[in-house]
Amino acid sequence: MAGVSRGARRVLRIALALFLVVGNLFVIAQPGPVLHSRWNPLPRSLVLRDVFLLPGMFNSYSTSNLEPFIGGLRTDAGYERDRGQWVRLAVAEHLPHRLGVNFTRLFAMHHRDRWGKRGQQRAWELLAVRIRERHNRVHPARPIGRVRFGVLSWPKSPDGYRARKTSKEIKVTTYYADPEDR
Amino acid sequence: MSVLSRFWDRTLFAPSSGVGLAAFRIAFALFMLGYLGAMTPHVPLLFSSHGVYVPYLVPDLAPPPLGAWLLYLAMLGATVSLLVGYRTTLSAWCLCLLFAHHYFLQLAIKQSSFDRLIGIYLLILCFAGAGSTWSLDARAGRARPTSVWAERMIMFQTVALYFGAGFWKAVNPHWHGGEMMWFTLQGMFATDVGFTIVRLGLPAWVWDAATIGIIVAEILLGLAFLFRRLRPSAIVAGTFFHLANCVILNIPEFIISITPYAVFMRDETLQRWQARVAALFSRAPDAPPAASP
Repeated sequence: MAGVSRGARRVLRIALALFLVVGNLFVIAQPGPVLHSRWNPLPRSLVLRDVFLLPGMFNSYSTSNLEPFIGGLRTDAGYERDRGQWVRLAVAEHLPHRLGVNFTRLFAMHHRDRWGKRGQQRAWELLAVRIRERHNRVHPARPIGRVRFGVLSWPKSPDGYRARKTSKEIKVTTYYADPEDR
Repeated sequence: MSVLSRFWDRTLFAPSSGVGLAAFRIAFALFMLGYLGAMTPHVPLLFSSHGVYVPYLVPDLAPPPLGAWLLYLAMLGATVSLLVGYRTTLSAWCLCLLFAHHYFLQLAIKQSSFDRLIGIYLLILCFAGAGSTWSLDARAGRARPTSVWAERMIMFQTVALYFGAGFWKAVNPHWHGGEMMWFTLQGMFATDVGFTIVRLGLPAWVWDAATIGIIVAEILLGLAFLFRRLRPSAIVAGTFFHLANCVILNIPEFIISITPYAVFMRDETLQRWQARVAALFSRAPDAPPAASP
């Protein structure tokens, strides 16, 4: 800011102030549930929503608990025993954060919100490429050719996060799987 | 002078001691050191071309691991520089740009409110002149006097944050009963304390009341910060709210919401606290204990 004249600094600050005020009010006035309501007279702005979407946390809930899984299809190279089989990859090798953060990354939450299912699909395709490349770099003796990932889910329980994670109650949802011709 | 110009002068450009802004700068930089520092074990995985990332709105161009380390360390360096107020404005710009790089490359995918808040605060700090006091810039005589602009922006953002969160919950059908909170405290962000609370087997009306209580508290908190006389209570209530959240939900990042409280405090209070902290660091070494009789 040192090279900017006092007048220009003042104009920049006024502009930024207006941006902050208008942006915040714009987003606050369009809460998720009524965003698409025909009674909402405000125009939609993805840019302002992207910058100022602060009140959006915990807007819904699920009755299930989740745990991400990542699988890789072993190629015909390297270690012999599991060639051609789907093997479980260590999630922490690819998503190093705590459970909730890993889930939001695996779900590609932002891409889904911004571009819908198509954007989410593109994000998943790229994520699969990264996971495959990383696995093959870290485990050159057990390369994989295809990747799939998703979540295991089971009903919530006051007794603990995984209290009802039993074979009877687990449901597997695959978000993405590389096509067979890959 | 036009009416509009006088309005801006009075509202945004009145002179400020800069004490509240400096306290915010320090609190925010400390938060950033914790937030960014937690990523240190995973830098190549998160931010390099050898890692697992999906960029958002930017080309797929991650640096190699060495480059990722250099950019990450530069970001930490800019945070320390902002903390101590060395070339404060330049540090804020560097941190803003470096954070933007890491955000769009990796962090954006998870759609977190606290990352947006970091971005907004950094943008304000770029134009704030936040090194006017309590900084190496001030010691070196480089600092310029500052105005209330940045403090007002941070105040507005804080009010908008709480009021917006409360208002969104108020119109959200999921928040019109206690189920939301009951299930959340058994979910992926819940701590052991959260699960313990659920196991208490509280009746449904308690969960309903607690849910309404949170909505009312957030809206009132936002409004309370607008009134000078209510600010001390708002600061205490807000701090308690966020600390309690950290105990029952594993999302410590929302502690960032406390950092702007400094701009709502009186200069004298902040200066008294600063003197105490300074005394802790400048205390002469203890004299050797006297021989017992």
